[in-house]
Amino acid sequence: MNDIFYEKLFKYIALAMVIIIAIIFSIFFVELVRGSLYAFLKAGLTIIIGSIWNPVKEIYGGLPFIYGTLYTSILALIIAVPLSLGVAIASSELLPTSITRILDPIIEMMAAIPSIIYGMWALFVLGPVLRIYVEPFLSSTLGFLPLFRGPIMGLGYLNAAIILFIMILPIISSLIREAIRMVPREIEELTLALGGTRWEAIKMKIHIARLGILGGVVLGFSRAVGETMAVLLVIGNKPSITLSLFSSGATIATVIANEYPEAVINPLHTSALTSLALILFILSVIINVIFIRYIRSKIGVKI
Amino acid sequence: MSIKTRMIKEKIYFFLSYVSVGITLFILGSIIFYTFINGFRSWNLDFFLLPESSPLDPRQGIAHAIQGSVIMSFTAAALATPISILAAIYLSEYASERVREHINNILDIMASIPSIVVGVIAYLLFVEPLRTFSAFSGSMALTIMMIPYMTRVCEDTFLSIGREYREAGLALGLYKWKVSAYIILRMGIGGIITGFALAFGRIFGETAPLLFTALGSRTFFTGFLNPASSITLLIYEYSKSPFEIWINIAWGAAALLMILILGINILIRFVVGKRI
Repeated sequence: MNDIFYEKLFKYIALAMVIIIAIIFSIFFVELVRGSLYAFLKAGLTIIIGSIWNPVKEIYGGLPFIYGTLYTSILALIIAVPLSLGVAIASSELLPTSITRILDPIIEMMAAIPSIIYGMWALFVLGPVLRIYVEPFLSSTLGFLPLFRGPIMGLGYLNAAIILFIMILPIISSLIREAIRMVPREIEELTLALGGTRWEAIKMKIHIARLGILGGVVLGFSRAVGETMAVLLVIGNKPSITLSLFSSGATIATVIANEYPEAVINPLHTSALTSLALILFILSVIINVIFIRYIRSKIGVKI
Repeated sequence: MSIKTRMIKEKIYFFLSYVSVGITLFILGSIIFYTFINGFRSWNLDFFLLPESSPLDPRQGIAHAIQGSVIMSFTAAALATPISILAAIYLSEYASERVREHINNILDIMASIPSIVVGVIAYLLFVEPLRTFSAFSGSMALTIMMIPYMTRVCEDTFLSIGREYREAGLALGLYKWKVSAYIILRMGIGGIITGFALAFGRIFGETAPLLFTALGSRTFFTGFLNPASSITLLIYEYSKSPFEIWINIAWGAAALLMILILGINILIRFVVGKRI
């Protein structure tokens, strides 16, 4: 009798925990919507498409932040994807197991370093390097491009993109590595038997693993979009829509981090920032649900 | 294309591959090197024992931030661990395939929500109703961050335990809850510890969810309903400050954080030998 009671008790307590998790998740969404309702009612679509953000004058256009988020993330991807491919190929195809046994965990460990430490490094080490060496060089040689115009500070889109690429590289490269390792050996043997070089065999494998690779890239993108602290320290926190890599900017995450504590006194300001958080939330859910789940169902691998 | 150009192409691509490994390791090395070189300089007894003082006072430290970090992280861990383990038990032992899949989807989505958004949610849920920034809200934000990650790791561990162990237990006349508690939990303890350590390391290094929940403080912990500091908040505040002494202390705090987190990861990955 007692045992049956305990059996029931245990099961329902465990079930309660699952329900708690489900409730937390629904509260997430409800709270974000409730918090942003005021701003959406008052400012409407301006929150998404307005290009001026001025809390003092109560103008809340979120476009510069959406632009900043996408611009830095895409720049980061442009650098991170080829490098991750290189690292993944070296680790899965070229280096001996005795080395990759150490190398793989070391690179994965990069993902565990807190983002505030990346931010500090970018601010105090990378920033001066960019300001003194890289940016003057770029502006004097390639200054005719709109990308490399503007005052040189060492902080801004370029710095943010570089630190973002460093932060997403470990995750992308380890997912690409796993995707390449999943490809059956026979593919390589076939290519070699047909007279292909080892590089051509690897190219074949990459072609077959392309969906898994895409999954890694998408996951890296979603990390970059949501990253806050590292970007916050180096992007300059001035909303701008410009191609210039030297210019200061802001992302959705950084403007929330920057202004939320001070916005407390102004409900509309808080609400506008909350609606930006909602946009970020929806963006990350969309990326996860649509892309990653789609890819996972196609290849049957855990991403 | 002649075989010669193809071989040259191969050499070039292989070279580029090695170069990317080199670049990656160089960057990682640079981050670790600068953090430690700059950080260890500011380590002394005062650094670990004293709280913040004016930026002109050479005798100050991060004791208040260490205290705040420890209190908030352990509170979050104490709340998240039982919830995660029990939820994982339910999902692996009781739930139907369909329920498990749905909950797993929710957990994966929760785990991928940007931490700054978790901060906003914790603000709306706890700071606004309580009308004050507080260590409690900070702990809750960290709890929310920890649950999905740890539940998934525990669940995967439990699911990897073979059917026959459960059947052996049931055949001996054990109730299911005893099978769960005495066999599954016991056998999965390694995975639970791994999941706990990695999740704990993760929330210990979080800054964004604390920015406008715990807010930061210049003094020692004064209760759960008051603002509190954390190592990460201190690094952020000090990095932005114009004072040399505070920037040095920030490096010191970063070195401490780095040692803790890398320590946990090295221990888990190389000593325990379990890779998650």
